[in-house]
Formats: sequence, structure tokens, C-alpha cells
Amino acid sequence: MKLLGFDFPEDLYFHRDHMYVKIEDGKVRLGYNAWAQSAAGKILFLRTRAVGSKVDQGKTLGTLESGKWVGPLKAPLSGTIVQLNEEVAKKPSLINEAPYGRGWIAVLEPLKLEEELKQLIRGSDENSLREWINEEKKKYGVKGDE
Amino acid sequence: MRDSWRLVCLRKAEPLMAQTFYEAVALAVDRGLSANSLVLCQPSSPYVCIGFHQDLDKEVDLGYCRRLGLPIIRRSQGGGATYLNADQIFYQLVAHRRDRVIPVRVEELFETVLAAPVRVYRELGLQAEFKPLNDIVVGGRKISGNGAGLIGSAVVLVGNIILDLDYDSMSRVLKVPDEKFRDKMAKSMVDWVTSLRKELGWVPDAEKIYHMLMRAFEDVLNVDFTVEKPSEEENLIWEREVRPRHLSTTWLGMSTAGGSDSEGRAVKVAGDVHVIEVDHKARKLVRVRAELVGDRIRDISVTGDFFLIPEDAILILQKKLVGAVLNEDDLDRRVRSFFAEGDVQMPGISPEDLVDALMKLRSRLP
Repeated sequence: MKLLGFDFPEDLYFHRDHMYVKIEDGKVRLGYNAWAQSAAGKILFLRTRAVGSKVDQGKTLGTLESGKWVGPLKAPLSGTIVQLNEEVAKKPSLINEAPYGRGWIAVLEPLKLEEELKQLIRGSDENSLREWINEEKKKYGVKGDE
Repeated sequence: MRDSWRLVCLRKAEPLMAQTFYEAVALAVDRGLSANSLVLCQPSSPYVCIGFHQDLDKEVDLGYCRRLGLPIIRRSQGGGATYLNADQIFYQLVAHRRDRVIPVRVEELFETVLAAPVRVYRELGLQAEFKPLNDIVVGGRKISGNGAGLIGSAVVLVGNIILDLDYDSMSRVLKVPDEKFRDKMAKSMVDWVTSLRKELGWVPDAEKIYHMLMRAFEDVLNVDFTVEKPSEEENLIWEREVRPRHLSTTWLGMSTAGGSDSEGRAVKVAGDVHVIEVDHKARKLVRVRAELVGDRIRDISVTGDFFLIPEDAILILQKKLVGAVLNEDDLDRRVRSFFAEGDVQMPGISPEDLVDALMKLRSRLP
């Protein structure tokens, strides 16, 4: 579905700090959602924790830099980083170009998948997604259609 | 009813404190220990400051800094390496990200907050303007550098009022491929970065500027400042967390995969002005050094180990390329007209090689 003009695919899960989760054969692929990448602007640098690192849900998985903005990437789930997107490491603006495609950031071996997924918003849960985006709008005074 | 914010005026502080104390304030805001704050200060002595995602040994002439005893500090904000000293007054705004005055979009954040330093420059008689994304310019020349980020739940925006500039030191501390690159970069800095001294012919008193900044931020943010000293908690956070992190070699030496691994050398001078050098290996080496404004060539030098007959035709090529936009069509047209009009021979280098070399400049643009 589209919210504020941005895609929030139904098969993904969304963390409130703006990373998304795609479940793939017991592992999860992570990225930065379309709305968040647009708010950040063109992403120039990405630094992530190394493959093999353990991350906790809500803790910092890496940092992004866009037009002199530096912000943290918060892990949407706890687990171990098993793969990083080398293409994105070389060209971080892929996150802007294809946030749900070639711009994915990392693959995680999740630790508490079932338990922690409950804290994320399903892309197919239109009401919760809309409520979350409206909260974001209210907090930040963002203009938009939703 | 206006909200109450803190004004913490450190005045002259040693470089590490001037550059990093706001991080302790941000952590205190994040933890609910401090209210939204504006920190004002000046570094008491010179240092080199690199951007959060930069690779230290690729950006800075470490030998030179060591010989001069210049400290190097990696800031928590983005952007490029720079030389800073007491001729800059820093403003460092720290606010909870959900505060009503803090827009979520980075573009709006800069535009909203930088209205304050723009006003200060205007009150001093300069035609200062905000230039997206994060610059303030006077007559097209940058007069303030700014960065922003998130520390926990605290948004920080840091920038400077430039009293005066030491162009020689600014260009000297950076790592460059050769002295010609440094000369080009230094000239570009003089052309594109300015200061109050350069514009006014004199430097206003720092205390006056602190006061002007305070008034301007109050009006722009619609808040009232209460002047306070750093809190005990902030001092502790700085001593126990921020300072040790910045003094660790892990922090200063950390590297980032990606952009900086590209070939050649690129230095952002101001706004959309870059000095870039790239090498292209055809059957012969072509080295291109250019000053770019956006994606347009303002000045260019083409060298290498090729032969050119007649030798002085390189000046014609360079002249033809000035004003070119870095797209294949425009470059191809200009390069082909150079070969066609001048009865020029360049053994081992085809027009396509030259266009490929020139297009490499584009690959180094952010």
C-alpha cells in the first residue's frame, strides 16, 4: 500500500525506527523504508557493524550520512549479522533508488523472531500502518495525504 | 507562552571540548537530564576535524599535523575534513527530536534553524542567504558550514560563524596527490569560501556575536533562553563517555566501506564546488584535475604521459572543456571538435578515452 506517497509492501514488517524486515527461509533481510530514505535525502555513506556481530532489537546496527545528516540505523530484530550488501556499501544511494530491492542493507540470523515480530507492524495490516504513519505525521508535522 | 531553552556559553574552550561537549548535552537531553539547549563556543587553539564517515589517512596529511602538533578530532557529524581555530564561533543546537520546532525533514531542519545565523550575518551588514542544503552564502561564497544528526533521541545541528580564515592551513592539512592539486584547491577555497574579515574588512567582537546569536535563535525558534553553565550530569557524561571515546584510536581510525574507496581524490570546497583529480589508463595515462561547480567544469587541467602534437594544443582542449557539463554527449561533442578543428594528433589516446577520463570526474561527485 501507499502512505504519504511511499510504498509499504504488504509482505514486509516495519519497525518504528524505520527499518523494514523481509522474512526469507528463517533469515531476515533488512533495509530502510521508502519514507525514511526520502526524509533523510541522498544517502552518501553507510557504516554497519561487521558480519558476525550480534545486535539487539532497537539498538544501533549502523549509521547513515546524507547531506551532512548523520543518523543511527536501529536494528528491527535481535540476531547475528550474516551478510551485508556490498553493493550498497560501495554505493549507499542505492538505498534511495531501490529501498526494497537492491538497496537492502543486511541479512540477519534472528534470535527471537516470533516474539519480536509481534512488536513490528505488518505491511498487510493497513490500520496499524496508517495509525503509525499518522503518529509520525503528528509528531513531526509532516504534510501528506494520509 | 514561549518554551524555555538553555543557553550554555562555553566561550573559548580547548578543541576537544569545543568540538564534542554538545554530544554530552545531547546524551543528557536523550536521558531526560537536560532541557533543549544552545551551546556557543570557540576553540581556543587550532585543530583538524574530520567528518564522521571519513577515513583519516585518506583525508588528512598526518605527517604535517604531527609535525605541527595539531590535534585531529573525528566529529559525530558528517561532511569533510577541515581546519578550525579560534576564528570560528560554533553554535550547537540540541533538542529532543519530538520538540515542536524540529522538522523531521533534513532540508527543513537546516532551513528553519539556519535562519538564525543568516540573521546575524545580515545584522552585520552582509547580504547573507540560506543555500540548500546546509550552507549560508554571501555573494555565492560560503560563510558558514553546518551539519546535523541524531544522538539517541536528540537532534543536533552544529555550525559556525566564520570570523576569519587561514586558507593556507586549510589546504595544507589535507592529503593531496601533489602540490598542483593543493594549489588548485587553495585557490578554489579563496574563490568560494569567505569570512567576516574578508567581507567587512574587520572582525566583530566575539561577545557581540554570542549575544546576536542568542537573540536570533530566540526569535527564530520562538523560545526564551536561560543562561546556564553545563550541568554536573553533562560534565560527568563528557568526562566518562564522550571524551574517552574521542581519545580512543578506534574512534579516530575507524573506516567506512564505500564511497571513499573510489580512485582519485575529491575535495569538497563549498556547497556544490569540488576539486577532483582522476587518472584514466588507456594505452597512455590521462590525468584530469578539475574544479567543478555542480556537474559543470569551471577549470580543468589535462596531463599524462601521452604525446600531443602540437604540444600547446592541450591549452585549446582545456579551454574547450571549460563550461562543459559532465555528460557524455556534451563532452563527446567538445572533444571531437578539438580533434577536428586543430589538426591534432594524440597517439594512443582516442576521443573516447578522453571522454571516459572526463566522465570519471562525475563518478567522484557525491
